[in-house]
Amino acid sequence: MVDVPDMYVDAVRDERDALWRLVDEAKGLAKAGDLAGMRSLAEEVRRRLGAGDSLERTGGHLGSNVGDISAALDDVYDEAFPVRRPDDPADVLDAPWPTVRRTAVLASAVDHVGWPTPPLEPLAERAIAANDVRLLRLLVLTPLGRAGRDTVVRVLDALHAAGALDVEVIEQAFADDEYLGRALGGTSRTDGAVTSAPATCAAVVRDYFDELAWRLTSPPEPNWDDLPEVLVPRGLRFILRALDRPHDRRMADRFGPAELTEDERSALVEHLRDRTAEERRYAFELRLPAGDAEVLLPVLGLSGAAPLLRLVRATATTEVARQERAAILAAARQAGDDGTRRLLELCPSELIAAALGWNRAAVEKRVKHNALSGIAAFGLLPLADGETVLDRYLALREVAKRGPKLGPNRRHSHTAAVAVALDHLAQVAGFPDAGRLEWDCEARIAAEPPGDWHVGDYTVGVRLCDADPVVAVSKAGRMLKSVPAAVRNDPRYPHTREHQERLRDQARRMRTGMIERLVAAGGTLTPDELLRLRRLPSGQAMLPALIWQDRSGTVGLLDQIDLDGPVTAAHPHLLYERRLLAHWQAEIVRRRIRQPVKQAFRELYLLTPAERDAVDVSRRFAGHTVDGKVAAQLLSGRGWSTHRQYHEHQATRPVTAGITAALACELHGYLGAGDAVVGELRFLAADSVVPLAEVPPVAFSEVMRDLDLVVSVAGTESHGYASPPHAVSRAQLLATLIDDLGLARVTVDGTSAVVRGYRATYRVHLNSGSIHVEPGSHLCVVPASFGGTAHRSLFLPFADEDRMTSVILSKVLLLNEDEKITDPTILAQLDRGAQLS
Amino acid sequence: MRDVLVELADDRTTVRELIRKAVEEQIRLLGVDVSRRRDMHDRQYLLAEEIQAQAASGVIRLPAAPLALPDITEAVARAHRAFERNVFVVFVAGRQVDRLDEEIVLRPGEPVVFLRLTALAGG
Repeated sequence: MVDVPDMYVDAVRDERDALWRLVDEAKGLAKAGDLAGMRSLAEEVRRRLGAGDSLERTGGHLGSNVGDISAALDDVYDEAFPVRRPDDPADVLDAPWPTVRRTAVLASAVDHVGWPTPPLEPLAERAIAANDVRLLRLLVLTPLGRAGRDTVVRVLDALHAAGALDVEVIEQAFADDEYLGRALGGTSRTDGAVTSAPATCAAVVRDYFDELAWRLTSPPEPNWDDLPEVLVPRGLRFILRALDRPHDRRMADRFGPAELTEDERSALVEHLRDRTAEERRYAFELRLPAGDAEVLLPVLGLSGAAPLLRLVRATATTEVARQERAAILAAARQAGDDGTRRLLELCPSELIAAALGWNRAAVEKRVKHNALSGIAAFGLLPLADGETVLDRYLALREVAKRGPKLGPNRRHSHTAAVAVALDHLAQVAGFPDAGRLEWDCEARIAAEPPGDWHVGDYTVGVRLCDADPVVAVSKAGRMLKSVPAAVRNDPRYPHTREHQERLRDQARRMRTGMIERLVAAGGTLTPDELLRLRRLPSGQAMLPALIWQDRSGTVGLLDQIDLDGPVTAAHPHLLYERRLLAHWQAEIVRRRIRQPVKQAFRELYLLTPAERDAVDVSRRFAGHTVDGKVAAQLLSGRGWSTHRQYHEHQATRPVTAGITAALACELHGYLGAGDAVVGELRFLAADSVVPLAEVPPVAFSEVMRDLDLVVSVAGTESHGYASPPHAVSRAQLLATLIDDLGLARVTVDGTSAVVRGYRATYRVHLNSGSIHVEPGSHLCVVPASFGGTAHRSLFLPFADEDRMTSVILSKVLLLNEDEKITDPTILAQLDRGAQLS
Repeated sequence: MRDVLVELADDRTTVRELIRKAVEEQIRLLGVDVSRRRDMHDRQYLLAEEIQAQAASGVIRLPAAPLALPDITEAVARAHRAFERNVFVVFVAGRQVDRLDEEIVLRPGEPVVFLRLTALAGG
């Protein structure tokens, strides 16, 4: 025996002895000519090997110590089951034991010599194409070779279509792979999201699974070891069984989310009517993951709590995100005090409890530990007795300061959590947004700066130099370039430095937090607000460098306009509309004004003719490939939310009251992982798409500016020179182009290209690139490698301006010569399509 | 897509020659663009007529500092190598041309199309 630790030596020896006894048994059966007996014995050996190799038994040390045993078995089985027809795959597969010799024959049949377990995929393709039921069954039942999970499901599908899918085959498929369910229901491997239509055999396999699940879990004790993973059973009986065993966590996990029909759901409600309160609560807990727990609220006496439950579920699934305090309070009011309390006992929610002020101590503790959702919840707490908004604001600023010590990724999420908390606090304090809250608080902080002081002949104080606070030391009216030791050693000096730091901090926040937002939104300040901001040193330095419009419509610098009414920061769109943009750009240059943020020179985006024609969708940045991680960071830094779960729009940003910008992206996974292709941009109102011309122009311009930033900074294609914006929609462009190519087999029909290929007629959608094979199936073809294209800038007038156009055109050209296609996965799809029609 | 017009002495030419002409013309157009941008950049602000002209394109902005123009000989050689490596393909009158030295005949109304293709696989 090789490399067996002492603790396993005895176990390995016992297992080997048992296996040798089975070898002897096999020899006896062979001598008696009992082939059926040999088949079941092979099964027994496999079971024995599997159990014996387990961690608990031999720590996995049996498998490497059975070479002599399997050689002996090989001899017995090769003699009793010789390969009669090596060129008939069915004959090769039809054997109870995978002997080395037989496996070698299989390896050469699938052209994979040298692999210990040859792949069965080539034979599966052949069997599916030929509809060879015997071979299909053997592919699942054989102990030889290895087939991928998706292949097994396709084989099951083919057997199902042929009416030959039986329990023996399904049982074996699950015995080989207890996670087979993953490929059945069309759920993705990583996050359980439904990614494709379920396999056609799914219904039959699930019938089998349901029966098995029922049988294995019958009283007295359930046997979970033999139940395949992943699959969720269907039917009320499973929930009732789980209700009968209220302490069985495993049963709750596997059966609690069982699929129910509408009728069964009503039956469950009926069933619970004459049950104990404890049982009702448990049923509710079981159904929470299934998503239909709401129907049980009435029997729990919580009819009014449905909106609150929806909020609880919404806040539980998202990462730290802004909550609408008013919505929480309204839902809690509707549920009633007692109802709210009971619902939160059933499904606790830190955020909702915080909004109601029920968990202050716990939340404060979580903030101490930098828990992200705890920080967000901290902002939602109502003000305590004697607590002011400023107190809470300063506490959050302290929390924010801990961010940089938390590491690069964590720091980012920490900052985001504090921003959410500030937004929450703004709601608590009744400010329109977080920005206003911040500046109200900042104004109070800087209200009383320490005055100048003197030491010897020196005068020391903090002065602003172009909005940048510096410690200024002067002697006899002359500024010194450096700080003398006498000043540096003075006990008052650290206070002055601290004040400088505070002002510097404030200047930074003034620029990015207040002025950037004000200019980007073309926001308005009341005389009060303006006055308060100008009392801040940084405000006094920055605000006069901006262009404003007063209540009478006069545009100018602060000293040129009427300050008795509200003043609006002039967005470049306002200047453009008033034909003042060129004037103010020249004026800013002439007066040598350094604007704190881009205003006169802010990039301004207007509707293009193509966008006017498209009415409610912009494809200006569509087709640009971007680094998903960088793009997600840029977008989230500019107020966009990036979603993982929505299929239509992967990034959204509310732009004005009632209008949200929604960007579609083609992703691999989710935005933040791998490359993404920017898609179409729309503006959504409550339940309609807003025509681009009706979107407030300032909001439109800022959204486009965000996207331009994303494609230019996160873009992975090297453009060298900026390409002109898409003048026409992609479909139009492609249609013209396909005409230009003059391909005999291709015609353009509306927004589709119709390719009359050799194998089939295809319809390629020119906006999305999806392919329909006529009459009714779908062909999935994707770029062979996703991401970085190798072309360095070539100075040629390429017809395909972006990657998406190139992909769609390549598809059309591929199908145009479909007789030359060799890719087996494309061919298999076409063959299946041909069988269906 | 911007159409690029190329002047040829004859309606007969080779793929090699066609690519060379197209690269030269493309770089000449870029040169015009570069000098216009340089003006705006040196002045540091836009004139009213420049703003009007930019408005039609959908975005008004001070251009970034213009890049230096590429070397024509080098760019032509790179385009020829790229063609040979199938980085892009050329269609003339509905037919894909294969070799650099292939002779082609150009007729009015039959545009030449340059395409970057993307390798595809079944999904």
